[in-house]
Amino acid sequence: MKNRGNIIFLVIIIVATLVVVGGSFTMASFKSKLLPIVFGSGIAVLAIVQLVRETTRKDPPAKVVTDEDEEEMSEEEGAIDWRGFQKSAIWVLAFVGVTYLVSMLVAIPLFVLFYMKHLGTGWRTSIISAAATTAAIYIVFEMVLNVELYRGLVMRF
Amino acid sequence: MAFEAFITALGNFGSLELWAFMLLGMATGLFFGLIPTTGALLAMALFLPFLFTMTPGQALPLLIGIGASVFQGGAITSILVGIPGTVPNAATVIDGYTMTKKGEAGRAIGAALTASGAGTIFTAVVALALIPLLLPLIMALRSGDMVFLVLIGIAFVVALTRGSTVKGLIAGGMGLMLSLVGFQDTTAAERFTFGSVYLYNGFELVALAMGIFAIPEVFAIAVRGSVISKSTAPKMVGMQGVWQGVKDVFHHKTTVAVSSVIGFVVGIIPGIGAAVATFVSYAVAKQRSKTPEKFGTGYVEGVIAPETADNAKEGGSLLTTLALGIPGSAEMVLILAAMMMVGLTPGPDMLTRHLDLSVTLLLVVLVIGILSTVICVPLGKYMAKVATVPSRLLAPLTMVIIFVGVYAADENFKHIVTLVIFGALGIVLRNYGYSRPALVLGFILGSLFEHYLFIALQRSGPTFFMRPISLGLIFVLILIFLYNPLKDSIVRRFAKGVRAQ
Repeated sequence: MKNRGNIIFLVIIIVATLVVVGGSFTMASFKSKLLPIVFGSGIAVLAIVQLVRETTRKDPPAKVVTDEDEEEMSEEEGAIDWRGFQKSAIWVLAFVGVTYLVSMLVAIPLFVLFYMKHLGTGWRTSIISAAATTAAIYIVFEMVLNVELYRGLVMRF
Repeated sequence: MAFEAFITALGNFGSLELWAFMLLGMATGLFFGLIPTTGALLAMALFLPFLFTMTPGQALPLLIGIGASVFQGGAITSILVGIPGTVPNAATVIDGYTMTKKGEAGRAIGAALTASGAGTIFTAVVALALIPLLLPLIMALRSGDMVFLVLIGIAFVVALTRGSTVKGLIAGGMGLMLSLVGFQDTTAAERFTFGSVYLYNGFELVALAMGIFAIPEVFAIAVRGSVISKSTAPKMVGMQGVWQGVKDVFHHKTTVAVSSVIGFVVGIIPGIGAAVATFVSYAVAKQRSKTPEKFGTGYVEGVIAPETADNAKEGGSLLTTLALGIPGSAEMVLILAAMMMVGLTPGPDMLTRHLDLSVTLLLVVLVIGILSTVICVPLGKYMAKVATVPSRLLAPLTMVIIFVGVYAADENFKHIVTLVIFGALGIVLRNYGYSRPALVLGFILGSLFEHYLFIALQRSGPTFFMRPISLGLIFVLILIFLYNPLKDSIVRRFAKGVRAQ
C-alpha cells in the first residue's frame, strides 16, 4: 500500500534540504559551506530515491484478513493509530499552551487530571495523582534543585 | 597504565556517591524492565535533563546501572505474565511462560536471574581483559582515522537496524545536518541560526534526544492502552523452585558459556541488538542439546540461554561505545549523549585520558549484574506486581517529568518548544520506519566529524586518508554498506533452493 504520509514527509525533506543547500552557497567561507552542501545534497538524493520507491511501489493483491493477520499487522505502518497520536498531541500542546500563558505549576495538575480522565482513570485516582505529581515536582525542582518552574505571561504581571 | 587504572577504579568503589547513583540506576532499570512497552531507552531518556548538574562519575554509573539491570526486570515479567518486559526478553517467554503454566515459575525465575548475572559477570570480565589489547590500536589512531570511525559508527547503526537502509541513511544525514546549526568552531561563522540567539550553540541535545526517543514512546504507551490486566497478574512463586533454578544454571555451564560468548560478540558489533543475541543463543542451545524436542515445552535451558546472552551483550556494547565512540544500540547512543553532556569526548580519549573512568564503568556493569541477581532472586514475585501499572497512569506522569526535566536543564522555555518540534519529528520517524538512533547519533557525532575532518585536511591535505588504518576503515565502511544487499541475496537464493527442493 502506498503510504501518503511518508510521501509527504519525503517531499518536505527534499524541499528543506534543497533550501539548505541553496542557502549554503551564499556562505562566505569554504569551510562553512562544505558539509551543509555535501550532506544536504546527499540527503536530497536519498530522499528522491525513497520517494520514487514509495510512489512506484505496487499495491499487493487484496486478501482475506484473518484474526492472526490483524495481530501481526498491529505494529506495521498500516496499522498505526494516528488518531490516537493526534489526540495525545492535542493534550500535549494544550499543556504547553497553558504553561506559556499561565504557569507550569498550574498546567501540571490540569494536564495530569484531565489527561488521566481522558485515558479512562476514575476521578478520585486522577485528582490524587494530579495533586501528588504537582507536589512532588514542586518539592524536587523548586525546593531541592532550586529550579524556578516556568511562570507564564499571566503570572509575570 | 591499564593496571594502575584498574586499581584507581577499584578505589572509586569506596565512594558512597558512586554506590548511590549506581543503585538508583539499578532500581530504575528494574522498574522500567518490569513494565512492558517501556524499557531502558525511556528510563535513560528521563534522566538526561538532570545530567548537566552531575559529574561523569555520577551520570554514567546511573545510566549504565539502568542498562545493566533492565533485562533482569524484563525476565520476571516475561516468565510470570508471558509478556516480554523488553524486546530481547521475548525469547525467554517461549519456555519461561510455559514453565509458569506448568507450575515451575520459581524455577524459571531462579534460572533466568542467575543466568543474567552469569552473563553480566562474563561480559564485564572479558571487556576488562580486552582493554590492554585495545590500547595500542587506540593510540595509533589519528584525526583522519577518526573521520572514518565516526562514519562507521553511523553506518553500522544505519545498515544493521531493521528496515530500509535508504531510510536509515536519510535519518543519519538529518542528524548530521542538525549538528551543523549554530556557531562553527573552526571559522566562528554562524550557520542556519536565522538570527536567533537560542540557536547560536546549536540545538539543545537533551531536548532533541528526549523529543526523538522519549515523546514517541510515551505517546505509544498512551495509544496502546493497558498491556496487562489484573486477571493475568503474576502467579505465586515458591522459594524452593527458585533455588532449583539457580542450581540449573550451574548444571548447564556449557550453555551459559556459549551464550555468553554469543552475547558478547553481538554486543561488540554495533547495531545488531540484544534481540538477535537472545534468539541466536536460544537456537544454538537447542541445536547443541541432546533433547532439542524439549525446547518450547517449558524447558529450563530455553530460559538460561537467552537470559545469559542479553546481559552478556552489555559489556561488548559498552566497550565499543567507550573506546571507539561507536554505540552498539539505541541505549548506547544515549550513553554517548550523556558523555557529551558531562564534558567527555567519546572515543579514544576514554581509553587514554579517562581510562580509570572506563574501567570503573565496566566494573559497574559487573557489580550491577551480581547485585540485581542477589536482590531479584528472593524479591522477584513481589517485583512482578509492578508490571500491572496501567498505562493510563504511566503516560501522563512520564510526560510531565519529560517536559519539566527538559525545561529544568537551564530554565529555558525554548527548550520545551524544541522538545515539541523534535517530538513530532520523532513520532513521524518512528511510525514511518526511519532509524531514530541514527538521527541522534548523527547529531552527536556530526560536530566531531567536522572537527576531525578539518584537522586532518589541515595537517595532511586532501589525501589524509592514505594511511593503512584509514584505508582499512574505508574497507570496513564499504563492507557495512554491502551487508544488507549481500544478506538479502543470500536469503533469496536460500529460499529459492528450499522452494526447488
